[in-house]
Amino acid sequence: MIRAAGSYLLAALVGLGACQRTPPPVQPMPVNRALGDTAVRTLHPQDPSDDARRAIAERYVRRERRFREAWEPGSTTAALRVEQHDIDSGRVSLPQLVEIGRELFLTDFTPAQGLGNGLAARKSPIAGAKPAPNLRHVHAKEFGGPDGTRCAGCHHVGGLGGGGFSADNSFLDGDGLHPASAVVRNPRALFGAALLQKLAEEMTAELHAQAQGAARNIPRGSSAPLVAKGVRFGKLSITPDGRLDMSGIRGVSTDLVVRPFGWKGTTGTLRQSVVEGLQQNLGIQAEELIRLRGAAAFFGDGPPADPDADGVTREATEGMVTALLAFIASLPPPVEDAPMNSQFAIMLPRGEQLFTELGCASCHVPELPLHDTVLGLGPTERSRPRVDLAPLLAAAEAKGRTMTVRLYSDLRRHHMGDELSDLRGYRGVPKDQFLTPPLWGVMAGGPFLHDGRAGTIDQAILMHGGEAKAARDAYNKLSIEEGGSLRLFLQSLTRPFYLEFKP
Amino acid sequence: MSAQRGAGSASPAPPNLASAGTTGGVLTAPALPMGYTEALVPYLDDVLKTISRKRIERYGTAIEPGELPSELMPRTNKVRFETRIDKLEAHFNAGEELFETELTTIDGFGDAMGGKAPNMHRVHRGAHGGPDTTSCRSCHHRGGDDGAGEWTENALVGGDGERTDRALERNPPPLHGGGAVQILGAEITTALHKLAHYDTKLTEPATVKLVYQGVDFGTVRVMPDGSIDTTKLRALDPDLVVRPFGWKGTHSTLRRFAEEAFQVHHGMTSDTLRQRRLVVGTAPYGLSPATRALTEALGDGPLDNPDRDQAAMELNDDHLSAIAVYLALLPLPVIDPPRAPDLMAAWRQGSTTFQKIGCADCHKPQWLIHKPIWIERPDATTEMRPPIELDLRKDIRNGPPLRNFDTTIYSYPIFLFSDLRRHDMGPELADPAPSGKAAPPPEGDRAPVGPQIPASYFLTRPLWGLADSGPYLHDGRAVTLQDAIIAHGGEAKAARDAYAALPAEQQRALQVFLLSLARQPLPEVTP
Repeated sequence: MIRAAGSYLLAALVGLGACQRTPPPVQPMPVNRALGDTAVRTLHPQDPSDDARRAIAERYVRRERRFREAWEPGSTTAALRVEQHDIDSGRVSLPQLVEIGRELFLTDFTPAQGLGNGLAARKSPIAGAKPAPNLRHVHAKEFGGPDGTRCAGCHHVGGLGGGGFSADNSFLDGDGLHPASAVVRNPRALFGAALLQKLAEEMTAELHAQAQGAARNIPRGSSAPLVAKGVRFGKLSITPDGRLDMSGIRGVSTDLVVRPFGWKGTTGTLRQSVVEGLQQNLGIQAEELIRLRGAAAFFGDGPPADPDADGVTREATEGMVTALLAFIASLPPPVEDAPMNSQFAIMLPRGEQLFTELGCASCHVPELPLHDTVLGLGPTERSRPRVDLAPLLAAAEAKGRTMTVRLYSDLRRHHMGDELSDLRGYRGVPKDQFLTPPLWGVMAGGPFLHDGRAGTIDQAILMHGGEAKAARDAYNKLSIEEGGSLRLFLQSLTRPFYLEFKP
Repeated sequence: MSAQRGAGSASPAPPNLASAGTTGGVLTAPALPMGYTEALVPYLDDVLKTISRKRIERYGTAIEPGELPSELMPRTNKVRFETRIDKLEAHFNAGEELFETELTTIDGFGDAMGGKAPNMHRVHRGAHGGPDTTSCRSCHHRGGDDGAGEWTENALVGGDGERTDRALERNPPPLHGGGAVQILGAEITTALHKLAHYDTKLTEPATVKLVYQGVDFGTVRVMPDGSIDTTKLRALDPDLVVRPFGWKGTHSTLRRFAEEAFQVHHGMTSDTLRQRRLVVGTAPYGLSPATRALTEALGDGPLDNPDRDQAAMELNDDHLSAIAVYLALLPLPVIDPPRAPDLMAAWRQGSTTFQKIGCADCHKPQWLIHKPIWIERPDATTEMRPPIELDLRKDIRNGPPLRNFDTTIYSYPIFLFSDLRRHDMGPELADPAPSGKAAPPPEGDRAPVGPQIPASYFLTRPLWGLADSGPYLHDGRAVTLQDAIIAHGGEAKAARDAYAALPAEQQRALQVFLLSLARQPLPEVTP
């Protein structure tokens, strides 16, 4: 278990990811399916009339389903309750799973489906005092609000699965009542999340290999840099008496697990993120969360099968979480847009050059290599589906077997100084440390920074501090034209234009 | 139903979302609804233009960060001086941009009263507001641009700035169709004023029943000296002005409604509000109680910059005209029934039930507009800033114009599903008595919320566009239609009880009907 992680919930969830439950006796061999052909829609702007027809047809199917659900309650919601064993046995195909995940992402959960909690009747101190769903805007510690009714409610800017506006900010880890008591967090965009997880897994493996080989490879009394994918994570030292000294580690927790999710890099896998989000933002308790009775104080003091006491058990099955993952993994990744206008096009290379020269690129590392593109979306290693993310990278360069992910991040934490500091630390990460947020697709969203305090990219750059202070000052000294070129380059990091019915 | 049975049986059928709808999955989607192709072609032309305009504009803004005063004012200035420019188009586009812009402190976002700008407050500080968010669209996006807001985005108004439970929870309402509502409100107001003999002299006191198009707005007593006794009036403000905007019906025009929103949500004070405050101590004639309350809560700073931030001029007359024109020209919601034959039958049944059990008594389905023209007047109308005429028969953007298919009447039907008056919704829906800076309750336990409107009184919410606007009720407490209907009380108690007594099948049919009240179904450009 991680010492750095301050909360039981996190510890419990990490445990969940780490420990392997006994696999079911008969388990078909995992199958890798290319994700792209099921879901990737638009890598480049397409004919809008095709787009419009597809969007309208989709809308009418969804509307008809809603009518059907009103007329025959349960007709859609029952179909959404997909079970992991049906996925494992192949009864649910990947395209079906993505479609179910999409619907789960879009739909408003209802109290009958487990939205919120019924803890008010039990006078639980961790929950609010209203009848179910008992929503509230400020979270209480790790229990959460809940503060929303659906995923798409806060992940919609720039298209489905994007980030949130400042009005969508979550007030994490507070007292349930005072916004000022909480840690303010702007919802992050979800596209590319599966790729982030793969990158982080490979980096973690690299770091662990170095730590395990340290006693062999590093002479006593000296140290060696700790590096993963070219990103430096401080150093490992061997004391003169032969013990491993971890005090030189930087930018990652002492367990050397790279966690790419959360503004402070506190969650390691997409699955954990989804399970946490369901609990804290919607009050939907995933089956796999409830199994962790050790941390019951954080999930509610209701009956064992229904800790949040709303009368609904198995609010999210393992299969439903897998479906949500499949949908998130299938979101089209962002693009690097080429300006149509010659005047803008000519400025773009200069902007990219400045991005490196000023030192932005030393943390917002433009690209990281990815060796293995196959990701298991299920709860265990042997679960289905296992998907190949390579088609999502079609727009990036493919160098032999190694793929390149142009994410503009080094996936490590940095000190951002007093300028960006929170009120206090969060889950064991000091208050001024944040994970370098990937900049891909950044201009499709906004506002910027962890609490959405910056309305424009210009403000966002100027609000950097700490380790980014030198780069910020350099930006501030740029001439008007040069500053313009840099922002123009950032503007090219966006998502493809397409037509949709906004969620 | 088969899917539900399958899930519970011993050998479960494979969950298949495609079989949940009658018409198959997305891949086997039905042909587009009739008439779509014609509507789509001109729209898509527009979309292509929008895409290229947005792309170019964004790069341009990236190079020179666009700020409201520098970016939008020249444009509206041009409108004033250049006769070649289509004023309506320019105002609409500027309004759209205002609506979508992420506002910054340079634009005047936020305040610097007792803190560093922008001094965000999730819980509002009395009538002064938050600010609580950086753009209009951040809370009006559900179901599409200019839509409603999520529960997460509820505004916590009139609070103490600190505690979420000491403020009034308000779910952002959808904005489509505002132009027609604004005109209708004005027509009702005119009619009521005529009924109340505003323009004639009486010789003895008269009791007047205020009824217009079948809606009873209450009774007033008109005196020979022209004064009106409005003590029995509950549905309206004492000035007999219909105010259809705001959950409690607090504004009669989109201009004033947007002005309040800019103030309380973004901390951007309009020049008009600032100048009205200069007339010290007097409540200017004609101001609504809500605007008057706002004028008094702008801030403790100097007269030219009450909120003490960097920007003194935050929102000028042109900005207000632009946003008012933009909001007035949004498309009207539509009634879009289901396609499957059995659902269609349920829909018809639900439509009848809606009338039968009394929902339609307050949620009046249809109104007639006689003259669908609105004159948007700048607050300081000059030769340079002439009024702008909006004709809903031709000017509505991204949707069909207001039409009259019944040639036997000379008026235009709109399907609003509201009577545009206030009703007592009982303790079930009443706001909690707020402490903090709100006025103490005068008598009984129902505190007045805002000027003169009791805690349990709300404007009948127009139901048009409902399908795309959940969660429901003023605080978004109801996620499902069932919960929303059951939560009604007060004057709606009889209808609620009638609904609760219906067989389940009829309840569901009513919900099918309600889900057909939807938005104009055209896709939008993302991002």
